[in-house]
Amino acid sequence: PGQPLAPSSRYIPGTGVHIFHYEICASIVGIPQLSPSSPSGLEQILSVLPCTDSTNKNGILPQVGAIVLGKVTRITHIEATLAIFVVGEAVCTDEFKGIIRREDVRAFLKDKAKILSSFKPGDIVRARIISLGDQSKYFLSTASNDLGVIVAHSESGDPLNPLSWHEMVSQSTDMIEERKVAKPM
Amino acid sequence: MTDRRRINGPSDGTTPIVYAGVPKAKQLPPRAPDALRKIFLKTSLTPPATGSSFLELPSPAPAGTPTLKLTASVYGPRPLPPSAPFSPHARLTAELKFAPFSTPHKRRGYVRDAVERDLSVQLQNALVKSIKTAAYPKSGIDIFITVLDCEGGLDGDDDDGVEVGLMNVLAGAITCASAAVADAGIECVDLVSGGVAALVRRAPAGGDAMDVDLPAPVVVLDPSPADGGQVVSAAVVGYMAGRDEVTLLWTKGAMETADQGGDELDLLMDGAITTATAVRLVLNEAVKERLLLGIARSRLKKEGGGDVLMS
Repeated sequence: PGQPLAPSSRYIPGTGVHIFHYEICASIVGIPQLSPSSPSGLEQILSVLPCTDSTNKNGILPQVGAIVLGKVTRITHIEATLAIFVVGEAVCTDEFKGIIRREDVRAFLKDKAKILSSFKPGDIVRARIISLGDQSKYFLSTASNDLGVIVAHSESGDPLNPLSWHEMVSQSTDMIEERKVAKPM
Repeated sequence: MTDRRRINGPSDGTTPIVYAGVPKAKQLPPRAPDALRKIFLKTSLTPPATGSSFLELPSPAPAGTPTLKLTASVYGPRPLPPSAPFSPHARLTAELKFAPFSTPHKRRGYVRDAVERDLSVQLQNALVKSIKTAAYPKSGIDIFITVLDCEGGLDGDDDDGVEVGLMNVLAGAITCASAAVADAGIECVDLVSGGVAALVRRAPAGGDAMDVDLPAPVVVLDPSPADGGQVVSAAVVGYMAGRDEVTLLWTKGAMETADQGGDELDLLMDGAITTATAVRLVLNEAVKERLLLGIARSRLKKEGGGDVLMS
């Protein structure tokens, strides 16, 4: 950290660097890497990437726009509360709290959405962080085709398989339950 | 009368154990005033912590001599408790603790006292400028330093002596904490290193000879309480070498400032900055060593998974 890498006029700063006195300097210990900013762009992005060593756990913090996985802990009429445990591709050591408001559940007819027909406690949901929120929780959204419930269990406890964007069917009893389902990849 | 309800000791009493006496530590050869002691610094030693480091100074040391040993653990960035107010920056807390066995003669109590609280606050002030807390909103970064052995004691041994031992602890803690923060991968503007310099009025002579009075106070870099000599004043500096910025300055003792005609304060500060710059080289090496180890390990993993090429 603090080591100057290149003048800031030559490259665009990426992750792990900062600008000081017209020079791009490193912020973390790692390997500098150049990547193209756009397929045809002339400018390149200079970043410092940490060494991916399994013995070193980096503290992961949710950022705005990150895709996270969370478990639904409680639901009310206006919001569903999640315990976020995966940020991006990394599993967190501490759980963060996030909420999905009723109007952020889906993209179209968002005022007609009902939390009770979209989530149930215990579901694993893929969502996107839209805001840092306030002191205790992040704000999440599932308003996209690939966001929503990915793992759920029925009231009797058996696993549910996705049927359509708003229905899931039980594996053993063929009963349909309503959820806001994520499109399987 | 034997008491059958309890387990008794021998009935005729015991005599206390008398030890042969603490072996006298070998007198280290006297150092030149600007010679620095070798530092051992290693990172990533505590698996549960996000980043950690261990510092020992001087190293290598002959067996029996007390050395300064510190260990630092960094946890974070991790979520703040819900009761904490929203903060767009990371909340940095530094806590320094002396182990009860760290002072040689008297066992320290485990209760936090004013010395520990003071050093913790100084450490926090030294580090907060270097960490990019704005990159981690709504989170906390906790740094824990444990002093396992503070060479010599913390009190000045002479009646006018300044507590050089305490300053060494602070300088070592700054360096050790910076190494742990870099090991944790937390974004920093620069690494802070700690350096100590002292004005010595009476230099120790080797062996059992009487201390020699110096004609003028000499600036000694990286003073050690074991070196002896009478310290008039000392300064500890937290210095960011890349940016040429001082994040912490703590002086103690009598010294002449510029407006009094003397330049002792400037000499002390320059001496401490020189020490800190040299310590920064050690810090760089220690942090780089972990990176190279990680690169070698990940390369081995990649090669191990691939096919074996027959030549």
